[in-house]
Formats: sequence, structure tokens, C-alpha cells
Amino acid sequence: MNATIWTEEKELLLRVRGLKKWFPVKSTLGRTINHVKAINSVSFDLYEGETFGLVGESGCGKSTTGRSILRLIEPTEGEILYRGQNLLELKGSELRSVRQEMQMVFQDPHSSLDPKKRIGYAIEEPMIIHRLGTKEERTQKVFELLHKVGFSKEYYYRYPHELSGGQRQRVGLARALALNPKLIVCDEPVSALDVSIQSQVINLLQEIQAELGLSYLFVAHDLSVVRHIADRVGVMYLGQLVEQAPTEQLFSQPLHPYTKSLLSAVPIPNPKIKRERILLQGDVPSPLNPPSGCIFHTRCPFAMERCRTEVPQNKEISIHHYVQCHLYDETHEHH
Amino acid sequence: MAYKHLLEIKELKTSFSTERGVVTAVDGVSFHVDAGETVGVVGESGCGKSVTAESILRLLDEKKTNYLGEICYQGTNLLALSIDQMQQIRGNEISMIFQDPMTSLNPVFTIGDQIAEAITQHQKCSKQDAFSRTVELLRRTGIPAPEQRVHEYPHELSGGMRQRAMIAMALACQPNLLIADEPTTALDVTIQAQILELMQELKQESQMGIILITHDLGVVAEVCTRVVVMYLGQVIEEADVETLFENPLHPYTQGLMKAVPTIDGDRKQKLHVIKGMVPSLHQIPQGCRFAPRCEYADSQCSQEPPQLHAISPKQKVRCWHAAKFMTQGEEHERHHLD
Repeated sequence: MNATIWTEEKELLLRVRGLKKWFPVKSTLGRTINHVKAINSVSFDLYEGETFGLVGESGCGKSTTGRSILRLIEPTEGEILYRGQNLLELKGSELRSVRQEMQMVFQDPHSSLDPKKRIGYAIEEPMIIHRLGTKEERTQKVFELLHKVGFSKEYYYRYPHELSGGQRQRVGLARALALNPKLIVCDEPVSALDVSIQSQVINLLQEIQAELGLSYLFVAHDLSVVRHIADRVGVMYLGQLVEQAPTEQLFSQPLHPYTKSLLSAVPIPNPKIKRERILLQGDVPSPLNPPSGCIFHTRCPFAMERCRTEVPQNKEISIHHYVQCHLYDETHEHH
Repeated sequence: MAYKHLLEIKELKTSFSTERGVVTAVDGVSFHVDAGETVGVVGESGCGKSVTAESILRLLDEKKTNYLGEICYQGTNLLALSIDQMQQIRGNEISMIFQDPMTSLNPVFTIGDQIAEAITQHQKCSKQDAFSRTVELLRRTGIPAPEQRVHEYPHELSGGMRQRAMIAMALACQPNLLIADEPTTALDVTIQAQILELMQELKQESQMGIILITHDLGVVAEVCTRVVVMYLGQVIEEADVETLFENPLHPYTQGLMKAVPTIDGDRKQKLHVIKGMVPSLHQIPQGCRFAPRCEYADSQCSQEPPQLHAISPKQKVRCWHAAKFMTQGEEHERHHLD
């Protein structure tokens, strides 16, 4: 897999535009009194064979975005175009056939497998649901998948409790691969694993991508992991995608003040490197009442007057490098 | 001073009686902590790092737990103290911060009540005094508007705030030793940076010793002065932080360092994988405990258990082949100089 080369030639697989999910907050009498603005107009593209990393701190809406794309959560507004088809307008069998091509790997391998079902069945189940193949064909496919994620045949008869966390995560991946998907949404797939196991799963994800040409939407909070696996990265803060860029560029030249402070906060495993930290004051504001203007202005060390009132637009500063910040208004106009 | 180190653990063995027989979670662990230094204890889940910490404060259920060895705090063996004497030490001389601030604070008391309790428990002072000291502590840990926050319940605070409240509580009686068990694992990176900064500041002010238990090598590199690496209940390597990161000698330490992607590493390089997995404590390998997963293991490794030995004044390692890595490392360094 070539992580750095990402060109126009790749075909657009998924285009998300103005995606919004507001969860209603109800009073005791059942009236909607407010909304938790979990995601607020998120837009990005995902190309074939590419990995798009979505990073941010807890509560920034990265998982909600991942789930909304598969319509596991029904978005409030926006467009999700999968090969030009708006998923939000699809119903019933149409939706089901598109969903075959989009699968998910969940964070917690302990709760995402049915403890009463054998591993073989867990992997076969998606094919049963989508009525694919005969029993023999499916069994054949399960053995292939087991092999692909590095298990021997005996594991067909094992139960989830007999497996370690990393092994379960591999079963989760095999299960997602059962329907030959084009896109896999990975929601924090390695964050519950120990470091030595984590590297196994990351390598496996990369190998499978190279082999099958899959696209990943990789949602994670660990910046080092995302940097390693993603071709492009989007940074979320309080429900908005504040910056997105090709990985190398985002990590070497972050533009948004939030991205800068986020990157500076990651500890480096080298005692000789002492970095300047950009420490943020306070906590993330509540998504019930997000700040006016730029959502980051309450904690931004560079906040200006207009940040309080005006919402910054998404601007392309250099090729594929987008940022939502008033600091770059001027520089951009000069070009 | 009659004692050499603030805390000295000598050949600690902690074992539990379970339905499946006796399990030794910590098997012969020795290390020490001096005043004003931060010792990192690193390892993956199940390596015994938390049990070591809980043994120091004797927090484990003593009906089912058996301790061997010594834990000397200022020269007194904590394992020989009575329950009442131990109570005088917990939270007063030695205190602890836990990983999850939500489950370690009591949800039905305000944070002010809980911190003041720690003060009145150990020191003679009026409720009012304890309360004003609590406000001061909260202010010290960087909680905004502490006069109001002190009356709030844990659920009203964010994760970072709760962890600050936990730190305030741990510091209430100005302990000489602070044990922090994964204090930032449940927090976001920006909050983690704030908390680590705070712990560093507080350490400099009070000259307390800190034991920092973590699995995150980045955090270790950032705040620790000395590091103890554990695997399957044993210390497998101990060194000061520079030496350890520059020249890790144990294959497990080396593997761990190569397995984590870093924020400035080579993206195209495949991540290193330590083959196999940590065996269960019921099936501890004969010989070196890491041998079944080690790429350098030979017949000696699988038969005779190596001892933790000093390979230089700064570094101890439990590996038969350590000397080999040592020369490799030095040669490597010489190449660098050329």
C-alpha cells in the first residue's frame, strides 16, 4: 500500500456534504426543549482504496459521523452520496443492497460478538442475512476469511470467550469482510487493545486494504495510530470538521489552532525531545449550546473579535488542505 | 536518616488464592523510589503493575491475598504493620490516584466533602479549616471558581476536572509518596497534557516521590526519571529514562518500543509485532518468561530463568542475552559518532 501517493485519479467513493445530527433533549413532559448538536455540517470525500482518518477528542462527534454514514444513526440533515447515490433517500431493499458494500468494525471486541454463537457462525451471519450463496459456499467463504485474518481452521468452532481481545477484533474484521464490502467504517478498532496486539491489528488492516483495495473511514482518538494508517485526516472539534489535509501535511503543517494544540499534546516516546506545548485552557464547551461564531473561539489563544460573531468558512489553503479559521482569511485572499 | 530510600520494595511476591489454585500476580519485584523522583512502571495488561501498587498500600482483600517480601517505607516494613497503623499511612503519607475518576469518587457526596474528609481523617483541624484548605487545594490543581465547585457532585464535573479533584484529594495531607495508577488513560490528550503538567509542578513544589503506572511510553518519556518495565509479574528491565529509550536491552522492551506508531516516526515502515500473546498466570513458562515470544530465545532461555542483574550502574535487565545487545548498542552509538 502506498500511503503517501493520493491522486485525483482515484475514484470518488463517498461524498458527505453538510451532514448534521442533532439529538433532541426532551423535558419531563416530552416536549423537545433543546438539541445536542452532535455533528454540525460535516463535509468530506472518501476515495477508492484510501483511508480517511477522523480524529478528535471524546464527544467531538467522530463516532456519530461514522455511524450516520451507515445510517445506524439517522442523520438530521445533509447528503451522503455513495457512488453518486444519496443514501439518505434510499429505503428497504435498495438500502440493504448498498449496505452490503459498507461494513463496520466496532471498538469493543468484547461486546460486539454474541457470546453464545461460535466464531464460524459469527462470520457467516452477515451472509445469511443478505441471503448469499448456499450453505456450502458460505462455509467455504468462512474458512477463507478465517485464513485471511490469520486463524487456523479450528477457530471455526471456538466461542468468543476463548479468544483474546486482539483475536476478537480480527473476528470482527473477518465478519465485516464477509460481504465483500467496498468501505469499512472502523470505529476505534485498536483503542481497547494492548500495544503489542494493537500493532498486529493495524498491520492486518493495512494488508487487507492492499489486497482488496478497500476504503476505510478510520475513526480514532489516537493521533499516532491515525497518522500511521490514514492517507488523509480530518480533525473534528465539537461536531465540526475544523481541518482536513493529506496526512503528512496535516502533521507537519497544521493550520487550525486546535489541530496545533492537539498535536503538541501528544507525548513523544523520546526523553530527549522536549516540545513546546500549546496548553488549552478549560474544557470543551457543551454541545447543547455551542459557542457562537467560531466554535473554538472560547479556548483559542488567537481569538479575535470577529471569531465571536462570524462563522468561519471552509477554505482550501493548499491542495486538499481545508481549514475553518478566520486566521487564514487574509492569507487566502492574497493568493 | 535511618533509611536509604523513601520506598524500597524487596522481593515482593503477591499471590491470590483462586478457585483454580494460587496465582502469583507479582513474583519477586524489587525497586525503589527516592524523594523528588518519578518512577514509571510500564507493562501491558496483566503484567502485575497495578497489583504492585495496590500491594504497597495493601488495598487488596487480605483474606485472599498473601504477601511475601518487604515493602519498606522510610525504613518501616508496611507489610508488618497492623490495620490501624496502615490506615495512618494511607492517604496521609502515601496516597493514590486511580485511573477512572468516575468510579473512584463517591457519587453521593460533594467533592468538597470528600476532600475535607481526607484532611479531618488524618489531621486535627476543624471542619471549617478543612473546608477552606479544600478550596485552596482545588484552586492549586487549577479548577476554576473553586468556591463553587467545592459544593458540586462528581457528575457535575468533566473527566479532567474529576481527575483534578482526585489529585487534590490525594495531595490533601501532603503525602511523601504518590502512586498514580494510569492517571491519564481515561482522558483526552489535551487534558492529559494539562494533568501531567500539573503533576510535574506539584512534584517540584513538594519534593514528593511519584510512582507512575502506565502503558503509554510517550507519557513515561515525558515525565519519568527512572523506569521499571514489567512482564508477567516480574521486573524485566530497570533503567533511567534516557538509557532505557536510547538502548533498551530486554527484547520485550525493544519490541514494545517498535510496536507503537509514533507521531514523528516513519509511516511507511510496518509496525513491529511481538508474536504470540501474554500467557495466563496459570501457565507461566519455565525458564525466561518471555522466551516463548522472544525472537532471540535459545535452549538456555526456555530452561533456566534469568535473574535481574545490573549490566551498568544505570541499567538492570533480566535476560541471558543482554550483554550481546549491550555491545550492539554501543557499536551503534560509535557509528553515530563517526
